[in-house]
Amino acid sequence: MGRVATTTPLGESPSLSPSEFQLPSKACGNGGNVFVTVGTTSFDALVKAVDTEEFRDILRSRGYNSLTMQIGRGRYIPSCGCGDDSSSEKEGESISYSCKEEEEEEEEEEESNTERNSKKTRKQSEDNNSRFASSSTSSLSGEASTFSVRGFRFRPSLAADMQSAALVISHAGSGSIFEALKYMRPLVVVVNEDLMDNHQKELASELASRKHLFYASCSNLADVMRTVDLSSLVEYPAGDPDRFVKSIGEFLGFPPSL
Amino acid sequence: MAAAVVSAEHVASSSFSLPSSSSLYFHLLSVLVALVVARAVFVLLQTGRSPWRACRQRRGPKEKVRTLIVLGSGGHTAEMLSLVKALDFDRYQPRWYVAGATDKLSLSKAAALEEQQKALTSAEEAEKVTGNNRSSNEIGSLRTGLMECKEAKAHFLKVYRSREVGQSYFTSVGSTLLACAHAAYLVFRVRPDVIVCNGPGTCLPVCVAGFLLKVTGLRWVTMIFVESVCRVQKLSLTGILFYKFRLMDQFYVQWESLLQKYPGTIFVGRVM
Repeated sequence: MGRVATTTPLGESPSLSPSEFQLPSKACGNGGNVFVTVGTTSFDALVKAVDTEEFRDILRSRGYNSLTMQIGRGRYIPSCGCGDDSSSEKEGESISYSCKEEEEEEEEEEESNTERNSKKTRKQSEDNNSRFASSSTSSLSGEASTFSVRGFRFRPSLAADMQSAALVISHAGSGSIFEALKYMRPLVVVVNEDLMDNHQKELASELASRKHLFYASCSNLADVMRTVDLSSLVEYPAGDPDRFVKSIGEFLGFPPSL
Repeated sequence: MAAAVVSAEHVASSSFSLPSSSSLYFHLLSVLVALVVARAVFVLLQTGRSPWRACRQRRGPKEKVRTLIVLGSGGHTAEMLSLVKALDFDRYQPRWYVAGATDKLSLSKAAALEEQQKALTSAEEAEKVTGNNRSSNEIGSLRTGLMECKEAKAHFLKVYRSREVGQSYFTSVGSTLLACAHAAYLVFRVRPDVIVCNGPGTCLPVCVAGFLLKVTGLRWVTMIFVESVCRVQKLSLTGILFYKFRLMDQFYVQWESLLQKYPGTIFVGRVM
């Protein structure tokens, strides 16, 4: 019952526009969702790293109360710490999976709009298979520290998930990084060290040196999460494409005014 | 004496200007090649000079430039579209968007952006018109007229990619040639004033074709390359090629560190 009370503000937050947000590093202590995204590719190592009881404990101790994972094309289906639901998942299908630690009717209604939409598109049979409730919750945690885990493969837009998150853990792709910075989310970037041409590292470490984000690898993500001080982050000043357009226009010989 | 002169003439004519047709063609061909090379060198030397500075005249503020926009994929497309969004659509038109043949998302994203901008401008125009207290009939006709001319302003093209991910290097020679030929066909048909690109490989054949268009003198196409924001310490392979061969008129980088390493590039902040 305490669970419902804590998730309600989370469900309402996506409607806020980015400008209404302070840099939410201050707010991260009082609950909120952690959003993990791997982009359009797969990054199983990251999903595995966050899908551990240890990692959930760290998040819980930092005051977060839920975890949402966007796992892309990954082969590894998170166990959600609440049983083996991966057997029902077929590879290659565009599936959404979800699992919860509690069995409550009201919870279904408390979920955000995006979740509800994705639910509509999902086949009923799949729904029955992939969504389930586990009774192990009470043994896992006390009432104050209930922790829910959700996930999906793809969504047309991650904007709502980004905006509603209190913390974003992302792969090092420029699209995800700049989206999170645009919404001024505290961001921890995990570099995929298995990639051959690892130029992604450059961007992440440069932005990290400017204090716009934190930079981790799969192996030290837990340590980084334990010690990280999110309030030290600095807001990223959005780029200005108008300056490019002006420069191009001048080169082409257009009058500089405009 | 006379015989000597004749024989000398004979020798001269035989050794110097024997009008055999094959050597005539050879001479013509070599002259032609020399001309093309000279023209190519001239184009390379002129590249990077502002066309208006060269001929001391500015463009009119209402002048239109035919714009070819090369969409990469994924992050590249996002960067490019954020730049395109800032363009003055009345000036940079018509616009051709080019993406790799297997890239399904980029063109639909560009189309979405076009739709969005179209809706925005038509709403603005309608507001202006109602502000002037025109009759509703007039507004209607104006709006449809507007829609019609907007329709022709954006075009979407697909170009063969030189190499798909995982394709073997042996077969990629053939597909690269095919990609170049296709890109050349498109560029010569479109004849843009400006090509804007930001990599990756998709834009290489397009820009080579743009260079050839310059060499032929059919149109002086200004080529603009914006290095991806991901590149902080080193240029991308495409970027290095363009930089080394000085193929680009304007070469933008998005980090100061690159500006220092590669003189001649331009830094005006970031697009994202």
